[in-house]
Amino acid sequence: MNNSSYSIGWGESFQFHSVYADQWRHDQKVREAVKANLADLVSEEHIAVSDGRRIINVPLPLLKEFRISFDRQQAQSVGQAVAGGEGEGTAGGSAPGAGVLGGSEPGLDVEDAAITLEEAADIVFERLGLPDLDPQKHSAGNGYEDRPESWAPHGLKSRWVRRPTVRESLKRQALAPGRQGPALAAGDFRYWRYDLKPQEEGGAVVLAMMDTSGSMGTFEKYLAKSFFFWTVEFLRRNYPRVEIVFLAHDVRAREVDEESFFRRGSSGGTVSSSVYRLALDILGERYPQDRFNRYAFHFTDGGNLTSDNALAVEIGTVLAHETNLFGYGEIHDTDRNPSPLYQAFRESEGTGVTLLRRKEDIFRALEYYFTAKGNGHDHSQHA
Amino acid sequence: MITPNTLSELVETVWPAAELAGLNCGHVHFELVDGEDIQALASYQGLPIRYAHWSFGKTFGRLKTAYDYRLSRIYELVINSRPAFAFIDRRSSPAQAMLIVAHVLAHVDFFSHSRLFADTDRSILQTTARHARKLAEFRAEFGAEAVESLIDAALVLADFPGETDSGWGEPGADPGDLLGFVARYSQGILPWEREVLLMLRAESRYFWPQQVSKIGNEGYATFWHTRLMRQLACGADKFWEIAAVNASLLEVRPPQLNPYALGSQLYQAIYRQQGLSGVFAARNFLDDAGLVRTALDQDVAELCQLGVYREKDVQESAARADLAQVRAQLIQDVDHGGLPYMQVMAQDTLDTGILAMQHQYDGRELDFYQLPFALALVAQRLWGGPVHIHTTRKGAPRVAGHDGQQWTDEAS
Repeated sequence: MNNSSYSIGWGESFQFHSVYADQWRHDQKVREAVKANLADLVSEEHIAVSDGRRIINVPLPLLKEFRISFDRQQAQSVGQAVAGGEGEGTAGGSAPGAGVLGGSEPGLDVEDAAITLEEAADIVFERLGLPDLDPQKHSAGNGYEDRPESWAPHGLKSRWVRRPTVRESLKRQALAPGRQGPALAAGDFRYWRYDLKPQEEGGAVVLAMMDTSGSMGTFEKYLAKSFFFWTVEFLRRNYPRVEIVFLAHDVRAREVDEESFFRRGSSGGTVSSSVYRLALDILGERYPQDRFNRYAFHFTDGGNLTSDNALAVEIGTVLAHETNLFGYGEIHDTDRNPSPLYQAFRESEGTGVTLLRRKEDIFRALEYYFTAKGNGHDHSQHA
Repeated sequence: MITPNTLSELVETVWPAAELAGLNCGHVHFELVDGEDIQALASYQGLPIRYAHWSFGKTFGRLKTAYDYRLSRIYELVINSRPAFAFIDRRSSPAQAMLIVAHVLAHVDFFSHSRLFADTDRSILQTTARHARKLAEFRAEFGAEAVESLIDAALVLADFPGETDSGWGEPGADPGDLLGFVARYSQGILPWEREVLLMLRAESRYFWPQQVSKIGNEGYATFWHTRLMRQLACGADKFWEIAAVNASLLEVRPPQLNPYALGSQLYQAIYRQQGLSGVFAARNFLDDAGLVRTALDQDVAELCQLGVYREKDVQESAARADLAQVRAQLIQDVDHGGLPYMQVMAQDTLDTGILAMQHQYDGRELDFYQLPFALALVAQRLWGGPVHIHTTRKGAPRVAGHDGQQWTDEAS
């Protein structure tokens, strides 16, 4: 046959922009799936350890394209080995699509999305905020604002500032006593210059109190540390200027820096009142109520010294009155009954209590404490 | 980097040799595109305009990552249409492009002579473009969510478009045509949704012959580009580059089967025994299963180091299997595109209102991990009622099903 012919194009009529829309939609679905997995994500162990690994894998069951197919787990199939060598690796023949030259398709569907910690934090913290934040407290808060801070020789007419202008004029005349100049020369004029300054409102302090007594097992410590890890991440991101104070206690309480707070081992007994007293002292000395929104969170296994219970409840109640929110979290790995402290705080006003039994509860606790919206949020009604 | 002029020279060189050897290609339109465009094209299964769906974006991301890390490279894509379209990465070197042109011509020859492709849509580019437009209209009218969920569900059944020898075929007439049957008889979908299902069915029928002739198609093209490159005298430097591309194509990553390597060996075997007429006959009549059945002998099995692997014991090397075992297993692997044989039990379904499907059990069980999710999609979005699959598991007949809320799995 002699009908053979060919033609050649530059490819300019084939621009595959629409695939980016599809990719965007896929990314969006990944985000949705991550959101659906938030509780698991938050309890992910190697995040909380914060060992520098900033990439996490999120399982995405929603994004698997389910098909009616053979069970590959039990199946056997024909594979190839390199001539002379023994084959290794997983079985399963994979073939590129027909008409595709070069490269072999990646083998199995791995339905994991690798996302960075920053992305994960964005998604986790999207809905969270400090509850009952009073913007009227004047100390370094979250926002920034334009404020007239200094004077500039140029500016808008409306920002003319008279007193420095006159001073400049006097200065000029004083420097050249004999000369008769105009009362106001062009160089005398001064104008307000607006600078971005940290807003002095909505200031807040968060007290992170953790039980490091010997009764805190691996699981309890892990849960408490996870909660505080996310709390700190969340505050640093959404409220970069909020101050965080770390308090660790066993029978005695002490203020520690962040590093040792998260790396602390555990020993000794538990006297919760000690840390409440220290918290009150610190609040009184450094964070007065008229300038700060004050939050306090205490995580413990509930194994408080029995003789201390009454005192702890008393001081804890005071602490609850002194703060916007006093959160008391109790961690149990078994189904034992909540401690007397828990019972007492549950009844008292201004205290938010949570009971954490599973890893997923970390996220529940975060959501519970940091629901920004609405002042009608009743923190005493949680079981 | 190649320009249309360079490519034109190459085609002028390769084409006469191919024609002389007996390849017959009709009109081929070559299109030079960028590397990233070819990834995009490959994620659309080769067709430049497809409906919007996130799964294409997912594939694109994966291909692009593989390309960025130099794990794989796609040199060309050929579309089975009239005229045939060939997309070539413009960053190939002239020597690479020469091999690619030979490979492309052989693909086109395969498409235009194999009986499998006799009834495929010749104007598939226009067809998919129309589908894309239609679906965009539906998205505007009925909402993106409705269209997306419909496509999600329809893709579960799109693996089963029925026998495609009969061209268009009446939807649902063939018991293997699950998607067509649902499109025709489902009480749970609206007219526009029916239309969407039929569009997806048409596309999946277009792809089906490619799915059952992967080894044959690639093998045939590799067989020919090897031959043609040997015939065309070219300098030592070019020859070196050509050999390098060829080697990367034939590289085996154990234990994955490389269709280029295996396919070309099978065609070589046929050529050794029956000459070129045998090769052309194989091209005309055989799908993958047929090709293996005809041409797999002891020599090929040894050359390709074929063995039977089990998914479970991944660490161990392949149990050295004899030829008969490898052969039987390989035929089973490639038969029916590697998918289970499913049939609609039409009479039962129409009597009871429960979509009943029969899985033709051949010793391989269905994946019961995926099945609940897959059937849930079909039950909720497509059938609007219970869906049953009659299959065999652990030697006993079972009925697995989903009614939209609940997954059931009972002995029958």
